Amino acid sequence: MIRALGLTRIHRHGGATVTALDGLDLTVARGEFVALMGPSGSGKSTLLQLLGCLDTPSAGGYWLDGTAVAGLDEPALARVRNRRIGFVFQASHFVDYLDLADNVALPGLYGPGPGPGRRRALALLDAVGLGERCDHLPAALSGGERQRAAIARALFNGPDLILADEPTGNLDAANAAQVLDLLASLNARGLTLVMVTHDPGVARRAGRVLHLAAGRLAPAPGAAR
Amino acid sequence: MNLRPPALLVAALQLWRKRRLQALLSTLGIAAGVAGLVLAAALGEGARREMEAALGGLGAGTLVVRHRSDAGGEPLTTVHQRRIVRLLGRELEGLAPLTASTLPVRGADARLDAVRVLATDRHYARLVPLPLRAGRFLADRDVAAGERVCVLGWELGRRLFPRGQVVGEPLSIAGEWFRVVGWLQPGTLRLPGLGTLGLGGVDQSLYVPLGALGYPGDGELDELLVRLHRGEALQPAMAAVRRVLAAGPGGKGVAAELIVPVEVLRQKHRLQRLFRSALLGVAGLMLAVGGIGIMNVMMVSVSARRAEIGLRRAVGATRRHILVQFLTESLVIAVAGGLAGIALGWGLALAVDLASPWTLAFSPGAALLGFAVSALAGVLFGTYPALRAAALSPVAALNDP
Repeated sequence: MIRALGLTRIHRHGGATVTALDGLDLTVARGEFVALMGPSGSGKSTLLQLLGCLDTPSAGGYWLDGTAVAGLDEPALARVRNRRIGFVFQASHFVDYLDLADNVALPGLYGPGPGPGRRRALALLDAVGLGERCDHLPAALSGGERQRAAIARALFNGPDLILADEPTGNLDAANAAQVLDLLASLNARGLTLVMVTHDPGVARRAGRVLHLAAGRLAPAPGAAR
Repeated sequence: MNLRPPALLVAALQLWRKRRLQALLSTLGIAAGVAGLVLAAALGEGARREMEAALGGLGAGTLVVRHRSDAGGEPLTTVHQRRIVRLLGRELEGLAPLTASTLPVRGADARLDAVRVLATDRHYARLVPLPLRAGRFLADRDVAAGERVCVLGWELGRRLFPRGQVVGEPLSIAGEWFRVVGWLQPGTLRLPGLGTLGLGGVDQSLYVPLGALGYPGDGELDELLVRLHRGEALQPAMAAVRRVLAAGPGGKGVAAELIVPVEVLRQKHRLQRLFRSALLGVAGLMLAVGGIGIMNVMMVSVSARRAEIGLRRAVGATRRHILVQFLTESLVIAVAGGLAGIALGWGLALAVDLASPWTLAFSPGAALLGFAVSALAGVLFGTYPALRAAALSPVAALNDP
């Protein structure tokens, strides 16, 4: 599903350069649930953005299901984000003036053809237990509800890959468990899942845990001792 | 491009929700600018129509020779009339002599103290459009035989004979009895302020055969209405007329004013043109102010909505989608202003038309122009902010708080 070779991302801030990712190699098979862990600044988020085609690598290659992403232009990248990938962000961004159903249907706005629109959004919201709140504005929702709605949105165009950046980072234990269960059930249905997290307890739910340090894959902190 | 119009409009209306005052001010600027444009166009169209009416009703080759009795020259007479006819020859389409008096008139049921009585001959009806409601205009034999007959303007007929029977009725002009032989339609010629006797005021005038009143006598005239076949012959004809007037039998010459109605209108329109230019300048300024306002409010909107832009990019929006979304936003503000401006300009044009001597005419072309200009302003001033929004990288936009 995911193959990255020598993935490098160098940020330039004025004169200084920061190497966020340093020649990282990574393979994720279809249907895997991978957790990315590592201290702040280790490159987890940068890696997730590259995998999500939100950013382009400074060097190295990235193949998503056999497609060389590095060779794609901006509209093609947008298409990949739209059709193949679903995002769940830590801060769960929403368009504040659209109601929940319209927010969930947002990927359909940029998808192929008119599509099922609100009807599909309502079905997805029902599936995450938010069907009755479909006409609320995002600001009226709790953190857990927002994350569940974000997952519904990520599923809208039927992606193969879900990328989650600390989806439970802002949630209490009960809500976090609910969101994790939801993500795990998606994985059980065959979706590939890559999740960034700080929480070892959360990472334990994944099939494989990868540790990053200074832009490279590293052995688990415990294993070194 | 797959962004559907309703979704675009919902996004575009956000500016109104969040930054109502700023958006309103920008819209007002555009509205004022477009109103100015529409008003200027209405002025131009009004002048054009007035000129067209003058040219259609009178012809470009119309000239009025008006005697100036206060200048102490010789009187203008039928002798001059005959000489001018001879001198102009084939260029002349028609010529009507005219004397004017203000006299008391009594009809069947009404009496009017001051009526404009014009003494002329049949040619007058050929030079000025005078459609008849009933009866006939003056004929050659009326003048030759000194018949006591008259023709009434529309308004005058209504007031003197309120029962509706006008033609054939007797009527007294300064104590002399005349028979009404014709009644005119409401005047089609509406040219105020030309400063001539023979043009304008048709509805309130009474026409009698030349000489029928018995005075001023000696073939004296107040005005000659001259029409040439071609407008280009006007300049040489005026020179010829001046020669005839200067070489009068008495040697002193006739003091007269030569009035070319089309020229008078052109003069009148000169001030209008000046006003129009000033109006266009102010309109341009208002459009620029409104446009810069739009640019400003859009820039603020773009930076306040970085997270929204990032989110939309993350779920599949291309740069082009974002560009179109924000261009639609500025377009909506500008076109709202444009539509308001068209309505405002139309209202102003109507008011100025009613309250001033100027003629204004609202044309669909002006509305179209106003719409196009406002849309253009929306695109022009919306492009830079929209490009800035489209240039935001999805990561940068998402990482922002």
